[in-house]
Amino acid sequence: MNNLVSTEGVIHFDRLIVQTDLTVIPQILSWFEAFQRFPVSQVVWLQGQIALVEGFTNAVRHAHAQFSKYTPIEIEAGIYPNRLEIRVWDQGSPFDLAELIDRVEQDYPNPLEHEVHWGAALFKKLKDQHGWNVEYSCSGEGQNCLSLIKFY
Amino acid sequence: MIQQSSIAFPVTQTEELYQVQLPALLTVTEAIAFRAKCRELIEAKPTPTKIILDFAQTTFIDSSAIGALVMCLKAARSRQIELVLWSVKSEILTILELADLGQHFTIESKTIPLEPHPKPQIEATHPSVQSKTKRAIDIVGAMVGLGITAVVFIPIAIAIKLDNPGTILFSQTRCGHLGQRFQVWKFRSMVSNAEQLKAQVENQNEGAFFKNENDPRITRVGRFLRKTSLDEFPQFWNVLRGEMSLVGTRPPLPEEVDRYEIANWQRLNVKPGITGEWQVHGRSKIRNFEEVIQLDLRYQERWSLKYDLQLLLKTVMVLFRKDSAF
Repeated sequence: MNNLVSTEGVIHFDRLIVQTDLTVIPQILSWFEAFQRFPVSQVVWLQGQIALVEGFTNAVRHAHAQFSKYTPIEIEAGIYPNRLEIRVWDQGSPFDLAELIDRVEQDYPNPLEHEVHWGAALFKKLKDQHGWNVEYSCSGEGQNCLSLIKFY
Repeated sequence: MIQQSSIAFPVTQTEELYQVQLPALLTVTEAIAFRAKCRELIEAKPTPTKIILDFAQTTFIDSSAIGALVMCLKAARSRQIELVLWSVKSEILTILELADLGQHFTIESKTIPLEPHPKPQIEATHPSVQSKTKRAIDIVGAMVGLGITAVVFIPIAIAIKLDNPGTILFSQTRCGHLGQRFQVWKFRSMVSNAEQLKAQVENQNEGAFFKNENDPRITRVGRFLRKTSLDEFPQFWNVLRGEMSLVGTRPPLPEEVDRYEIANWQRLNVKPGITGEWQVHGRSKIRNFEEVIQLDLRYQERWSLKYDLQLLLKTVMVLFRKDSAF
Protein backbone atom coordinates (compact mmCIF):
# COMPACT_ATOMS: atom_id res chain seq x y z
CA MET A 1 0.00 0.00 0.00
CA ASN A 2 1.01 3.56 -0.54
CA ASN A 3 2.50 4.83 2.68
CA LEU A 4 4.03 8.08 1.50
CA VAL A 5 1.88 10.15 3.85
CA SER A 6 4.05 11.85 6.43
CA THR A 7 3.15 11.25 10.04
CA GLU A 8 5.51 13.81 11.53
CA GLY A 9 4.30 15.36 14.79
CA VAL A 10 1.54 12.80 15.17
CA ILE A 11 -0.12 12.43 18.58
CA HIS A 12 -2.00 9.24 17.88
CA PHE A 13 -1.96 7.15 14.73
CA ASP A 14 -3.43 3.79 13.88
CA ARG A 15 -4.23 1.66 10.88
CA LEU A 16 -6.90 -0.95 10.35
CA ILE A 17 -7.19 -3.35 7.45
CA VAL A 18 -10.63 -4.80 6.87
CA GLN A 19 -12.38 -6.88 4.24
CA THR A 20 -14.86 -5.66 1.66
CA ASP A 21 -17.72 -6.45 3.99
CA LEU A 22 -20.31 -4.10 5.45
CA THR A 23 -20.67 -6.19 8.60
CA VAL A 24 -17.33 -4.84 9.87
CA ILE A 25 -18.83 -1.38 10.54
CA PRO A 26 -19.14 -2.10 14.30
CA GLN A 27 -15.44 -3.07 14.32
CA ILE A 28 -14.50 0.19 12.55
CA LEU A 29 -16.58 2.21 15.01
CA SER A 30 -14.95 0.63 18.02
CA TRP A 31 -11.49 1.09 16.46
CA PHE A 32 -12.23 4.80 15.94
CA GLU A 33 -13.17 5.27 19.61
CA ALA A 34 -9.47 5.57 20.40
CA PHE A 35 -9.48 8.87 18.48
CA GLN A 36 -11.94 10.46 20.89
CA ARG A 37 -9.28 12.31 22.81
CA PHE A 38 -7.61 15.67 23.18
CA PRO A 39 -7.17 17.84 21.10
CA VAL A 40 -10.03 16.43 19.00
CA SER A 41 -13.30 17.98 20.19
CA GLN A 42 -16.43 15.88 20.57
CA VAL A 43 -18.02 17.49 17.53
CA VAL A 44 -15.01 16.98 15.28
CA TRP A 45 -14.76 13.39 16.45
CA LEU A 46 -18.44 12.75 15.70
CA GLN A 47 -18.04 14.32 12.26
CA GLY A 48 -14.96 12.16 11.66
CA GLN A 49 -16.87 9.07 12.72
CA ILE A 50 -19.68 9.57 10.21
CA ALA A 51 -17.23 10.58 7.45
CA LEU A 52 -15.14 7.47 8.06
CA VAL A 53 -18.14 5.14 7.91
CA GLU A 54 -19.43 6.83 4.76
CA GLY A 55 -15.98 6.51 3.17
CA PHE A 56 -15.80 2.83 4.04
CA THR A 57 -19.36 2.13 2.87
CA ASN A 58 -18.64 3.85 -0.46
CA ALA A 59 -15.56 1.69 -0.91
CA VAL A 60 -17.57 -1.50 -0.31
CA ARG A 61 -20.71 -0.59 -2.23
CA HIS A 62 -19.20 1.29 -5.15
CA ALA A 63 -15.42 1.03 -5.56
CA HIS A 64 -15.32 -2.67 -4.66
CA ALA A 65 -18.80 -3.55 -5.89
CA GLN A 66 -17.46 -6.19 -8.29
CA PHE A 67 -14.66 -7.38 -6.03
CA SER A 68 -14.39 -10.36 -3.76
CA LYS A 69 -15.12 -9.99 -0.09
CA TYR A 70 -11.44 -10.68 0.59
CA THR A 71 -10.24 -7.50 -1.12
CA PRO A 72 -8.65 -5.43 1.65
CA ILE A 73 -9.67 -1.88 2.49
CA GLU A 74 -7.09 0.03 4.47
CA ILE A 75 -8.14 2.66 6.95
CA GLU A 76 -5.82 4.98 8.80
CA ALA A 77 -6.34 7.92 11.08
CA GLY A 78 -4.01 10.33 12.81
CA ILE A 79 -4.43 13.03 15.40
CA TYR A 80 -1.99 15.91 14.93
CA PRO A 81 -1.65 19.03 17.08
CA ASN A 82 -3.63 21.04 14.52
CA ARG A 83 -5.74 18.50 12.61
CA LEU A 84 -7.47 15.15 12.43
CA GLU A 85 -6.72 13.09 9.34
CA ILE A 86 -8.61 10.04 8.14
CA ARG A 87 -7.78 8.04 5.03
CA VAL A 88 -9.59 5.18 3.33
CA TRP A 89 -7.72 3.28 0.60
CA ASP A 90 -9.58 1.20 -1.95
CA GLN A 91 -8.62 -0.57 -5.18
CA GLY A 92 -11.56 0.26 -7.43
CA SER A 93 -11.65 2.08 -10.74
CA PRO A 94 -11.22 5.87 -10.70
CA PHE A 95 -14.31 7.83 -9.74
CA ASP A 96 -15.06 11.57 -9.64
CA LEU A 97 -16.34 12.00 -6.08
CA ALA A 98 -15.96 15.79 -6.19
CA GLU A 99 -18.40 15.97 -9.11
CA LEU A 100 -20.98 13.84 -7.26
CA ILE A 101 -20.60 15.94 -4.12
CA ASP A 102 -21.15 19.15 -6.10
CA ARG A 103 -24.17 17.77 -7.90
CA VAL A 104 -25.99 16.34 -4.93
CA GLU A 105 -27.30 19.57 -3.45
CA GLN A 106 -28.73 20.79 -6.76
CA ASP A 107 -30.45 17.46 -7.23
CA TYR A 108 -32.12 17.52 -3.83
CA PRO A 109 -32.86 21.07 -2.71
CA ASN A 110 -35.51 19.78 -0.29
CA PRO A 111 -34.11 17.35 2.30
CA LEU A 112 -37.44 15.56 2.56
CA GLU A 113 -37.39 14.64 -1.15
CA HIS A 114 -34.00 13.15 -0.62
CA GLU A 115 -34.00 9.42 -0.01
CA VAL A 116 -30.73 8.34 -1.64
CA HIS A 117 -27.17 9.75 -1.98
CA TRP A 118 -27.15 11.01 1.59
CA GLY A 119 -23.51 9.92 1.82
CA ALA A 120 -22.42 12.50 -0.76
CA ALA A 121 -24.72 15.08 0.86
CA LEU A 122 -23.01 14.53 4.22
CA PHE A 123 -19.58 14.99 2.63
CA LYS A 124 -20.85 18.18 1.02
CA LYS A 125 -22.06 19.55 4.34
CA LEU A 126 -18.87 18.57 6.16
CA LYS A 127 -16.92 20.33 3.43
CA ASP A 128 -19.00 23.50 3.07
CA GLN A 129 -20.32 24.04 6.58
CA HIS A 130 -17.78 22.44 8.87
CA GLY A 131 -14.45 23.07 7.16
CA TRP A 132 -13.53 19.50 6.31
CA ASN A 133 -11.20 18.86 3.43
CA VAL A 134 -12.63 15.96 1.41
CA GLU A 135 -10.54 14.61 -1.45
CA TYR A 136 -10.66 11.41 -3.41
CA SER A 137 -7.51 10.88 -5.38
CA CYS A 138 -7.23 8.10 -7.90
CA SER A 139 -3.80 6.95 -9.00
CA GLY A 140 -5.18 5.10 -12.01
CA GLU A 141 -3.25 2.03 -10.90
CA GLY A 142 -6.03 0.57 -8.84
CA GLN A 143 -5.18 2.57 -5.76
CA ASN A 144 -7.59 5.26 -4.61
CA CYS A 145 -7.38 7.31 -1.47
CA LEU A 146 -10.23 9.16 0.19
CA SER A 147 -8.66 11.69 2.50
CA LEU A 148 -10.71 13.50 5.12
CA ILE A 149 -8.86 16.25 6.97
CA LYS A 150 -10.14 18.67 9.55
CA PHE A 151 -7.95 21.49 10.90
CA TYR A 152 -9.17 22.42 14.38
CA MET B 1 -24.46 -6.70 -2.42
CA ILE B 2 -25.78 -5.46 0.85
CA GLN B 3 -25.84 -8.27 3.32
CA GLN B 4 -29.01 -7.96 5.23
CA SER B 5 -28.37 -8.63 8.86
CA SER B 6 -30.89 -10.71 10.71
CA ILE B 7 -31.69 -7.79 12.99
CA ALA B 8 -35.14 -7.69 14.48
CA PHE B 9 -37.04 -4.51 15.27
CA PRO B 10 -39.13 -5.32 18.34
CA VAL B 11 -42.50 -3.58 18.17
CA THR B 12 -44.76 -2.77 21.10
CA GLN B 13 -48.33 -2.00 20.18
CA THR B 14 -51.08 -0.35 22.18
CA GLU B 15 -54.25 0.32 20.22
CA GLU B 16 -53.24 2.55 17.32
CA LEU B 17 -49.82 3.38 18.61
CA TYR B 18 -46.68 1.51 17.65
CA GLN B 19 -43.32 1.75 19.35
CA VAL B 20 -40.33 0.39 17.45
CA GLN B 21 -37.14 -0.29 19.33
CA LEU B 22 -34.14 0.54 17.15
CA PRO B 23 -30.80 -1.28 17.39
CA ALA B 24 -27.52 0.14 18.73
CA LEU B 25 -26.25 0.82 15.22
CA LEU B 26 -28.62 1.77 12.44
CA THR B 27 -26.51 1.56 9.29
CA VAL B 28 -26.55 0.26 5.74
CA THR B 29 -26.77 -3.34 6.96
CA GLU B 30 -29.93 -2.64 8.96
CA ALA B 31 -31.48 -0.04 6.66
CA ILE B 32 -33.36 -2.39 4.32
CA ALA B 33 -34.98 -4.27 7.18
CA PHE B 34 -35.74 -0.94 8.84
CA ARG B 35 -37.41 0.44 5.72
CA ALA B 36 -39.47 -2.74 5.39
CA LYS B 37 -40.55 -2.53 9.03
CA CYS B 38 -41.57 1.12 8.68
CA ARG B 39 -43.56 0.39 5.54
CA GLU B 40 -45.29 -2.53 7.25
CA LEU B 41 -46.38 -0.37 10.20
CA ILE B 42 -47.42 2.58 8.04
CA GLU B 43 -49.57 0.33 5.87
CA ALA B 44 -51.02 -1.61 8.80
CA LYS B 45 -54.80 -1.80 9.17
CA PRO B 46 -56.29 -0.03 11.00
CA THR B 47 -53.93 2.85 10.19
CA PRO B 48 -51.91 3.73 13.30
CA THR B 49 -52.21 7.27 14.65
CA LYS B 50 -48.66 7.41 15.94
CA ILE B 51 -45.42 5.56 15.33
CA ILE B 52 -42.64 6.00 17.86
CA LEU B 53 -39.08 5.22 16.89
CA ASP B 54 -37.24 4.48 20.11
CA PHE B 55 -33.60 5.52 19.77
CA ALA B 56 -32.72 4.79 23.42
CA GLN B 57 -30.16 2.13 22.44
CA THR B 58 -28.91 3.80 19.27
CA THR B 59 -25.46 5.35 19.23
CA PHE B 60 -24.78 5.65 15.50
CA ILE B 61 -26.71 6.13 12.25
CA ASP B 62 -25.26 6.45 8.76
CA SER B 63 -26.46 7.94 5.46
CA SER B 64 -28.52 4.85 4.60
CA ALA B 65 -30.37 5.17 7.88
CA ILE B 66 -30.96 8.87 7.18
CA GLY B 67 -32.44 7.98 3.79
CA ALA B 68 -34.68 5.38 5.44
CA LEU B 69 -35.81 7.85 8.12
CA VAL B 70 -36.70 10.41 5.45
CA MET B 71 -38.66 7.78 3.53
CA CYS B 72 -40.46 6.80 6.71
CA LEU B 73 -41.31 10.40 7.61
CA LYS B 74 -42.67 11.13 4.12
CA ALA B 75 -44.78 7.97 4.04
CA ALA B 76 -46.12 8.61 7.55
CA ARG B 77 -47.05 12.20 6.71
CA SER B 78 -48.87 11.19 3.57
CA ARG B 79 -51.18 9.08 5.75
CA GLN B 80 -51.47 11.59 8.58
CA ILE B 81 -49.56 9.33 10.94
CA GLU B 82 -47.55 11.11 13.62
CA LEU B 83 -43.92 10.00 13.61
CA VAL B 84 -41.93 10.68 16.75
CA LEU B 85 -38.31 9.96 17.59
CA TRP B 86 -37.77 9.09 21.24
CA SER B 87 -34.71 9.29 23.49
CA VAL B 88 -32.39 10.51 20.78
CA LYS B 89 -28.81 10.75 22.07
CA SER B 90 -26.73 13.81 21.30
CA GLU B 91 -24.54 11.82 18.88
CA ILE B 92 -27.57 11.02 16.75
CA LEU B 93 -28.89 14.57 17.00
CA THR B 94 -25.53 15.82 15.74
CA ILE B 95 -25.83 13.60 12.67
CA LEU B 96 -29.45 14.67 12.03
CA GLU B 97 -28.40 18.31 12.34
CA LEU B 98 -25.48 17.71 9.99
CA ALA B 99 -28.03 16.49 7.44
CA ASP B 100 -30.19 19.60 8.15
CA LEU B 101 -32.98 17.29 9.28
CA GLY B 102 -33.15 18.19 12.97
CA GLN B 103 -36.04 20.57 12.38
CA HIS B 104 -38.05 18.13 10.32
CA PHE B 105 -38.49 15.40 12.89
CA THR B 106 -40.52 15.50 16.09
CA ILE B 107 -38.05 14.59 18.79
CA GLU B 108 -39.17 13.82 22.31
CA SER B 109 -36.72 13.32 25.10
CA LYS B 110 -38.26 10.66 27.26
CA THR B 111 -38.80 7.03 26.53
CA ILE B 112 -40.91 4.92 28.82
CA PRO B 113 -38.00 2.81 30.02
CA LEU B 114 -37.90 -0.63 28.45
CA GLU B 115 -35.10 -1.69 30.76
CA PRO B 116 -34.93 -0.90 34.48
CA HIS B 117 -32.46 1.96 34.21
CA PRO B 118 -31.32 3.37 30.92
CA LYS B 119 -27.87 4.86 31.41
CA PRO B 120 -28.27 8.59 32.06
CA GLN B 121 -24.80 9.41 30.70
CA ILE B 122 -26.00 11.34 27.67
CA GLU B 123 -29.01 13.58 27.95
CA ALA B 124 -31.55 13.92 25.21
CA THR B 125 -32.85 17.27 23.98
CA HIS B 126 -32.88 19.86 26.74
CA PRO B 127 -36.45 20.69 27.92
CA SER B 128 -35.94 24.39 27.10
CA VAL B 129 -35.63 23.53 23.40
CA GLN B 130 -38.88 21.58 23.49
CA SER B 131 -40.95 24.05 25.49
CA LYS B 132 -43.70 25.47 23.28
CA THR B 133 -44.37 28.21 25.85
CA LYS B 134 -40.75 29.37 25.68
CA ARG B 135 -41.02 29.49 21.90
CA ALA B 136 -44.29 31.46 22.14
CA ILE B 137 -42.66 33.98 24.50
CA ASP B 138 -39.75 34.23 22.05
CA ILE B 139 -42.06 34.97 19.13
CA VAL B 140 -44.01 37.64 21.00
CA GLY B 141 -40.82 39.14 22.45
CA ALA B 142 -39.12 39.13 19.03
CA MET B 143 -42.03 40.94 17.43
CA VAL B 144 -42.04 43.60 20.14
CA GLY B 145 -38.24 43.86 19.84
CA LEU B 146 -38.36 44.17 16.06
CA GLY B 147 -41.02 46.84 16.43
CA ILE B 148 -38.68 48.88 18.64
CA THR B 149 -35.81 48.17 16.24
CA ALA B 150 -37.89 49.55 13.36
CA VAL B 151 -38.47 52.78 15.26
CA VAL B 152 -34.81 53.35 16.16
CA PHE B 153 -33.42 51.99 12.90
CA ILE B 154 -33.26 55.20 10.87
CA PRO B 155 -31.54 57.46 13.45
CA ILE B 156 -29.07 54.67 14.30
CA ALA B 157 -28.40 54.00 10.62
CA ILE B 158 -27.64 57.66 9.97
CA ALA B 159 -25.38 57.86 13.03
CA ILE B 160 -23.43 54.74 12.01
CA LYS B 161 -22.99 55.99 8.44
CA LEU B 162 -21.86 59.45 9.51
CA ASP B 163 -19.38 58.15 12.07
CA ASN B 164 -17.75 55.51 9.89
CA PRO B 165 -18.84 54.71 6.33
CA GLY B 166 -19.81 51.11 5.66
CA THR B 167 -22.66 48.77 6.31
CA ILE B 168 -25.34 49.49 8.93
CA LEU B 169 -25.73 45.92 10.05
CA PHE B 170 -23.02 43.43 10.84
CA SER B 171 -23.41 39.68 10.58
CA GLN B 172 -21.25 36.95 11.95
CA THR B 173 -21.44 33.17 11.92
CA ARG B 174 -22.27 31.73 15.33
CA CYS B 175 -23.08 28.24 16.55
CA GLY B 176 -26.55 27.55 17.84
CA HIS B 177 -28.37 24.54 19.19
CA LEU B 178 -26.13 21.48 18.72
CA GLY B 179 -23.57 23.54 16.91
CA GLN B 180 -25.78 24.40 13.97
CA ARG B 181 -24.41 27.50 12.31
CA PHE B 182 -26.41 30.64 11.71
CA GLN B 183 -25.79 34.32 10.94
CA VAL B 184 -26.22 36.58 13.94
CA TRP B 185 -27.21 40.20 13.15
CA LYS B 186 -26.17 43.32 15.04
CA PHE B 187 -25.79 47.01 14.36
CA ARG B 188 -22.19 47.56 13.29
CA SER B 189 -20.20 49.00 16.18
CA MET B 190 -16.69 48.64 14.77
CA VAL B 191 -14.83 50.15 11.84
CA SER B 192 -15.57 48.52 8.47
CA ASN B 193 -12.27 46.64 8.24
CA ALA B 194 -12.38 45.35 11.83
CA GLU B 195 -11.73 41.69 10.91
CA GLN B 196 -8.47 42.58 9.15
CA LEU B 197 -7.35 44.58 12.18
CA LYS B 198 -8.21 41.80 14.62
CA ALA B 199 -4.69 40.37 14.77
CA GLN B 200 -3.30 43.74 15.83
CA VAL B 201 -5.55 44.03 18.85
CA GLU B 202 -4.17 42.46 21.95
CA ASN B 203 -6.33 39.63 23.18
CA GLN B 204 -7.12 40.26 26.81
CA ASN B 205 -9.19 37.17 27.34
CA GLU B 206 -7.91 33.94 28.72
CA GLY B 207 -8.95 30.78 26.94
CA ALA B 208 -10.90 30.48 23.77
CA PHE B 209 -12.72 33.72 23.14
CA PHE B 210 -12.03 37.13 21.78
CA LYS B 211 -13.04 40.31 23.52
CA ASN B 212 -11.05 43.42 24.30
CA GLU B 213 -12.37 46.19 26.50
CA ASN B 214 -10.47 49.06 24.93
CA ASP B 215 -10.61 47.72 21.44
CA PRO B 216 -9.57 50.65 19.21
CA ARG B 217 -11.68 49.29 16.38
CA ILE B 218 -14.91 50.28 18.15
CA THR B 219 -16.34 53.49 16.72
CA ARG B 220 -17.74 56.32 18.84
CA VAL B 221 -21.29 55.51 17.83
CA GLY B 222 -20.44 51.85 18.33
CA ARG B 223 -19.37 52.52 21.90
CA PHE B 224 -22.71 54.17 22.58
CA LEU B 225 -24.63 51.34 20.91
CA ARG B 226 -22.77 48.77 23.00
CA LYS B 227 -23.20 50.67 26.23
CA THR B 228 -26.94 50.89 25.67
CA SER B 229 -27.05 47.39 24.16
CA LEU B 230 -28.86 48.87 21.15
CA ASP B 231 -26.38 47.02 18.94
CA GLU B 232 -28.01 43.74 19.99
CA PHE B 233 -31.50 44.65 18.79
CA PRO B 234 -31.31 43.14 15.28
CA GLN B 235 -30.89 39.78 17.02
CA PHE B 236 -34.65 39.75 17.56
CA TRP B 237 -34.69 38.67 13.92
CA ASN B 238 -32.63 35.58 14.90
CA VAL B 239 -35.09 34.93 17.72
CA LEU B 240 -38.07 35.15 15.38
CA ARG B 241 -36.37 32.68 13.05
CA GLY B 242 -35.91 30.26 15.94
CA GLU B 243 -32.10 30.27 15.73
CA MET B 244 -31.89 32.02 19.08
CA SER B 245 -34.07 32.53 22.10
CA LEU B 246 -34.59 35.64 24.21
CA VAL B 247 -32.81 33.91 27.08
CA GLY B 248 -30.16 31.27 26.61
CA THR B 249 -26.43 30.69 26.50
CA ARG B 250 -23.88 32.93 24.85
CA PRO B 251 -23.74 32.15 21.10
CA PRO B 252 -20.15 31.01 20.46
CA LEU B 253 -18.09 31.52 17.31
CA PRO B 254 -17.34 28.42 15.22
CA GLU B 255 -13.63 28.72 16.08
CA GLU B 256 -14.49 28.58 19.78
CA VAL B 257 -16.59 25.47 19.35
CA ASP B 258 -13.87 23.73 17.40
CA ARG B 259 -11.58 24.32 20.35
CA TYR B 260 -14.02 22.96 22.91
CA GLU B 261 -13.11 19.98 24.94
CA ILE B 262 -15.73 17.29 25.16
CA ALA B 263 -17.21 18.54 28.44
CA ASN B 264 -17.78 22.00 26.97
CA TRP B 265 -19.84 20.63 24.13
CA GLN B 266 -22.78 20.39 26.53
CA ARG B 267 -23.16 24.15 26.23
CA LEU B 268 -24.75 23.66 22.85
CA ASN B 269 -27.65 21.59 24.21
CA VAL B 270 -29.80 24.71 24.46
CA LYS B 271 -30.47 27.56 22.08
CA PRO B 272 -28.26 30.62 22.45
CA GLY B 273 -29.95 33.73 23.81
CA ILE B 274 -29.84 37.48 23.38
CA THR B 275 -29.44 37.58 27.12
CA GLY B 276 -28.57 35.02 29.74
CA GLU B 277 -26.53 34.34 32.84
CA TRP B 278 -23.42 35.98 31.42
CA GLN B 279 -25.26 39.27 30.79
CA VAL B 280 -26.90 39.39 34.19
CA HIS B 281 -24.26 37.83 36.40
CA GLY B 282 -21.11 39.15 34.88
CA ARG B 283 -21.42 40.84 31.53
CA SER B 284 -18.04 41.85 30.15
CA LYS B 285 -16.34 41.64 33.52
CA ILE B 286 -15.88 37.96 32.89
CA ARG B 287 -12.59 37.36 31.19
CA ASN B 288 -12.18 33.68 31.59
CA PHE B 289 -13.65 31.27 29.07
CA GLU B 290 -14.19 28.65 31.75
CA GLU B 291 -16.40 31.03 33.72
CA VAL B 292 -18.63 31.55 30.70
CA ILE B 293 -18.96 27.81 30.26
CA GLN B 294 -19.83 27.42 33.93
CA LEU B 295 -22.52 30.08 33.67
CA ASP B 296 -23.94 28.37 30.59
CA LEU B 297 -24.07 25.01 32.32
CA ARG B 298 -25.65 26.58 35.39
CA TYR B 299 -28.39 27.98 33.15
CA GLN B 300 -29.08 24.52 31.74
CA GLU B 301 -29.36 23.05 35.22
CA ARG B 302 -31.64 25.74 36.58
CA TRP B 303 -33.75 26.32 33.52
CA SER B 304 -37.48 26.83 33.96
CA LEU B 305 -39.89 29.33 32.42
CA LYS B 306 -39.83 31.27 35.69
CA TYR B 307 -36.04 31.37 35.63
CA ASP B 308 -36.13 32.71 32.06
CA LEU B 309 -38.50 35.48 33.08
CA GLN B 310 -36.29 36.36 36.07
CA LEU B 311 -33.26 36.64 33.81
CA LEU B 312 -35.23 38.82 31.39
CA LEU B 313 -36.24 41.17 34.21
CA LYS B 314 -32.70 41.29 35.58
CA THR B 315 -31.41 42.10 32.09
CA VAL B 316 -33.70 45.10 31.87
CA MET B 317 -32.53 46.23 35.30
CA VAL B 318 -28.87 45.80 34.37
CA LEU B 319 -29.45 47.85 31.23
CA PHE B 320 -30.64 50.77 33.31
CA ARG B 321 -27.72 50.58 35.68
CA LYS B 322 -24.68 52.60 34.72
CA ASP B 323 -21.80 50.14 34.65
CA SER B 324 -23.64 47.64 32.55
CA ALA B 325 -21.55 47.21 29.43
CA PHE B 326 -18.06 48.61 29.49
